Amino acid sequence: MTLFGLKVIANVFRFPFELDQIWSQMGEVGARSLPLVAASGLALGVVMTLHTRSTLVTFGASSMIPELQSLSFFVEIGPLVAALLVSGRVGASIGAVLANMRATEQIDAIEALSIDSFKFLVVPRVVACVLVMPLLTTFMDFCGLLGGFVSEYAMSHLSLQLYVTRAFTGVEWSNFIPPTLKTAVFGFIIGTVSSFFGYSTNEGAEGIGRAATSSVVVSSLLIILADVILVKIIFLVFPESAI
Amino acid sequence: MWNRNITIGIFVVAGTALFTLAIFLIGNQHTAFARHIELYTEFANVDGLAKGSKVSVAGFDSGEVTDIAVPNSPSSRFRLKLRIEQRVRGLVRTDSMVTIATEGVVGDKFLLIHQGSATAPEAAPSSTLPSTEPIDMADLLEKSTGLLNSASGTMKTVADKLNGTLDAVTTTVDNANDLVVGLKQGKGTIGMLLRDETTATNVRQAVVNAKQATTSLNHASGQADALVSDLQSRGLGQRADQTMSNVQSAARNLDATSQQLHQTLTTALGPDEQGVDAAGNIQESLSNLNQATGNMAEDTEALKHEFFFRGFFKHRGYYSLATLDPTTYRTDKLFTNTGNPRAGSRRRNSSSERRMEAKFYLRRERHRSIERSPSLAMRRSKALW
Repeated sequence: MTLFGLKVIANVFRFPFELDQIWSQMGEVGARSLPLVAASGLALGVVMTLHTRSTLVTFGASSMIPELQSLSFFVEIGPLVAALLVSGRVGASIGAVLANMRATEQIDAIEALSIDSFKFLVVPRVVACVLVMPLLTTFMDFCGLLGGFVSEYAMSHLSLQLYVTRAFTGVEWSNFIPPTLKTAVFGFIIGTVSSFFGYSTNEGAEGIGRAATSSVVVSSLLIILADVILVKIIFLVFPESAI
Repeated sequence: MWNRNITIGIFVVAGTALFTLAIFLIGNQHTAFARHIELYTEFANVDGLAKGSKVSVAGFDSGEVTDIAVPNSPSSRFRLKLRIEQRVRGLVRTDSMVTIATEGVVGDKFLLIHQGSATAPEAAPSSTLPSTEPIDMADLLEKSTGLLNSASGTMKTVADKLNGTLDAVTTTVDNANDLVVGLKQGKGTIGMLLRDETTATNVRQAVVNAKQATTSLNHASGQADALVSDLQSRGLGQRADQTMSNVQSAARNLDATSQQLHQTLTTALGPDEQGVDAAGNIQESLSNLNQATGNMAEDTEALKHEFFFRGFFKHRGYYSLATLDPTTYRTDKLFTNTGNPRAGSRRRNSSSERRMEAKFYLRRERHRSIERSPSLAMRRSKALW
């Protein structure tokens, strides 16, 4: 899998760049995942505010709810949940599609046409995942804040302006930009792992299901493990972002 | 195909726009797009303050800590670099005090810049503001512990004293209880007063006597009122007023008389037409009288040598002032004769004697001066001739 990933990186900078495929996969991975991510973000935002409110009200710190909400989503909840959602939806899709193409010898047919199947099928999907994940994470963050505002407005009739002001008061650029951009790594993991399991399967219909399952499980696991390492690296590079 | 491309384009543009918006909102909250000035301050203890901590000017979020320089020695202090908005610069003066504060009970640390005085100039960029060290919680707890120990000792002392006081109160209450019991049993003076019938009868009799005395006093008061009314009917008050008026009139007359007398004396003792006052005139008159007396003595002396009177004097005998000495003057019978009124008065009155002796010396000196003066000697020789 490591060699597969290195091969993907090496082929990204090789001509032809397959921009049409990349654009098409961005629609498949990004635009079609947006409803799932947005809905999840809204729901998580509402739930997060309900949970934190009961605790913070006890200490008389209800004014810190927006700040806590924004920090939670920008730093960890947004990137991680978005990546896991995408890994569940897109990872399974990529793994199943490529495994099905392998099982039905479509990849062999592409190869027979003197087309680099790896460059044509795998690299655009990985690149699309890398490019789309930060955008989906941003959507996730804002939907979470919107859900938090709706919940807070229903409870205390807090104005949107004051909510936004409080939400961004304690947030630094280092709390938003590095965690958002780290999802590009998550996208690379999703695309690479899913493509690996789908592209390398040699079985039939049973292999398709196994590839899809393995893609979701392994990519999710690797995302969580990579998150630990990336957070550590972010704290190392941006020590002021450590909360 | 076009619908898919549009959807993807909207997704990419919207995602990028949201990412940019988040960056802008965060930067706006940290005033990253506003004009700033940099200031410095120093602390021995930064109390958990970190790079990026918020800086508040008079409670208004205005910047952040951009750098913390660690000191090289314990004698040095942490040097904090602050970046605050240009628009609050008017509030930051050279005497603005910087302190480390906490947001709420569990909030983050931040730097609080107090407003300076209006008379102080604005803090220049890159200048160092004065600071107040934060309160060390460990020291505070240590002092609180000492205070609590002291309070505990004080409370113990107070409790001991309260116990003693309560014992004394208990004893007092017991004594009062005994007293009340004795009163109820008719013991002691008060008890006898309350319980003994004979004493009660005596008290009643005393009350009756007091009533009678009050009646008598009331009668005497009525008589005194009648006496006062009688005095008032006789007009004693009007007479007293008349007398006082007469006295006042007499005093006014006396005052007028005194003023007239004073005016008369002032006129009499005042200066005459030549501007000489009465004392000067009297002195001059006395001087003239003295001179006339001297001239009279000269004339008398001249009579002794005149042709018509010389025989008389020779027959009677006389002294010449030029040769007469005081001892002879005092002892000679001519002057000590009691039949001579002048000599008799000399003996009776020592002051008159002294005046006579003075006149004697005066005349003799004047006579001698005449003897020495050529003009007077000539007059005398002419007279003698």
